[in-house]
Amino acid sequence: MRLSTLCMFTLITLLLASGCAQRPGIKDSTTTEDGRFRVTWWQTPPRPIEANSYFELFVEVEDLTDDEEPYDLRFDATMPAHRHGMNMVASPTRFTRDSWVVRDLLLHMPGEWVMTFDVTDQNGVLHRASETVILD
Amino acid sequence: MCMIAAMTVCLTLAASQTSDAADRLHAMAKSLSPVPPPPTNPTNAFALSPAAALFGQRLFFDPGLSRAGDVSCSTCHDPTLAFADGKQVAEGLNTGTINSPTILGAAHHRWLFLDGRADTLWSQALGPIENDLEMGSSRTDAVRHIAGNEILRAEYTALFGPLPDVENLDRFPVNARPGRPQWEAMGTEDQHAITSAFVNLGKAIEAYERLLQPGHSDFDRWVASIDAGTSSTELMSPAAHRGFGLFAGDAGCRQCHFGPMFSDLEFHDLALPPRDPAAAPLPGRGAGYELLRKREFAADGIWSAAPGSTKARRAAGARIGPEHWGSFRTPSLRNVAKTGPYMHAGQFETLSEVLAFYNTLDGQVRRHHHAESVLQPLNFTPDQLADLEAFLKALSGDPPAILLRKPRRSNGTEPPKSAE
Repeated sequence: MRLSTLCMFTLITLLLASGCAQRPGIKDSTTTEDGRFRVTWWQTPPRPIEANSYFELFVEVEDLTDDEEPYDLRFDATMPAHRHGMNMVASPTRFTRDSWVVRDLLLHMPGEWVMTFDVTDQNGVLHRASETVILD
Repeated sequence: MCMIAAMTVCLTLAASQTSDAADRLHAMAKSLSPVPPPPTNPTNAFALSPAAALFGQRLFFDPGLSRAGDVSCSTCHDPTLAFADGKQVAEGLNTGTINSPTILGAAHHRWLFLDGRADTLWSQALGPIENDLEMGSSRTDAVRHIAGNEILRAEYTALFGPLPDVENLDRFPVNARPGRPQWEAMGTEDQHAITSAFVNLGKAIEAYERLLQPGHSDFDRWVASIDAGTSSTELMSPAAHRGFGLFAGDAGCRQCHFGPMFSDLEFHDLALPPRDPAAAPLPGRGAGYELLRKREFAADGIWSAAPGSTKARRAAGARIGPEHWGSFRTPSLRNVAKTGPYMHAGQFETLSEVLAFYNTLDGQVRRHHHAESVLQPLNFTPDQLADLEAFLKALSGDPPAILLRKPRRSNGTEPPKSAE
């Protein structure tokens, strides 16, 4: 047990030392609930997100079925347990045909937040991807 | 032999868990202390000017900025009461509906007034001067007061340049402020000159208020001892130590009260019982947001030194939702023992009453179905509540005494009576 603990400790130390867990530019990814789009986002520091610290997301949306240009992206974040959302308007700014920048995001409390990425396709149909983030 | 080994493992694990818990608590403590310098405010080019701060300090204590010469900023933000006023709701020229918050550490807030109707400290400072519940004056008369006082005029012109010719009452009528016929009768250039000078007064007051930081408290001294590797537990009482454990743990206070100011700086609706059940409910941020949007002195407006700054952009990006109706800004807990009565309408006289509310949530009034639901009853014992209160009382610390009174002249003498 002691050996395995030591191995785990060494592994974590090496990971942290290499900056893998903190390095800006590391991306996260999920797909919309219907599997149509893959949503990938890069986050500016602080990373991981800190409660009540502003951050930005660079979001890329890939159509996994039709290779079609997404029509629009909306972003939001809520705390379901508290029944409230962010106190900032999230306004994605289109960067390329399939990417957006979302500035001035602020998750103002510790706890469980659900980030939602709503992708509208060219037919006006909404496709939702979501990710849960727990802030200390 | 096996039993000894097992006991040793158990004891080691227990010691390790205790150490982990202490480490977590220390990490939490260090996230709350010390208070850093306030964030910069690029919308005020004079925010860091010592001369502006001295001038602003003079203005802060000057009742000459009020209509009848009997109310100053310090009336509701009394330095002997930790820059609050000890009253349930503010009393200036008339009685208001909101409790006066302390302005110690106000420069850390991203929203000013408890409903967040202002996005900079300088624009907040201008509001009460023209509010008939508070100082009831006008920007024109405020500028005339500066022009008519030798010391104030000299300090103003040294900082900001010449004042408008406010002695000319035809061009600059008495009581002239937006919304009044006297103001509408003025020429556009004269209106602009008055407002420009008026804004400068607010920017000087901000320069002073930025210096009003919460002083070092017993809690800060204990946290500093952790950093020094000594962790001197005698710097806080045992009850306060236990109270901090509850604060950081089961009480859940840190959901809203975190960071060096012990506040998330944002808005919440605790469904507090109203002070006066017969009175109309207070809309809080719901109305504050609308006032913010219409505000003449916005961070991204023409009177801002940096309307394109990140601060201004973020202020303009505030969101309002149905859950904000009835919500108020989370107060800092620094100096909380000195700033009662408590809550946005002074609903509770003492900290004990505040904690009793959190313990049971008795009397909560949900005014609409969109309200957030952050609180759960603590169900603590009386001893636990006493410990929490002891911790809150360990958060008191005064700023330097030189900031707590009307400034003397630079040569150490009191200003002449005309400046009183």
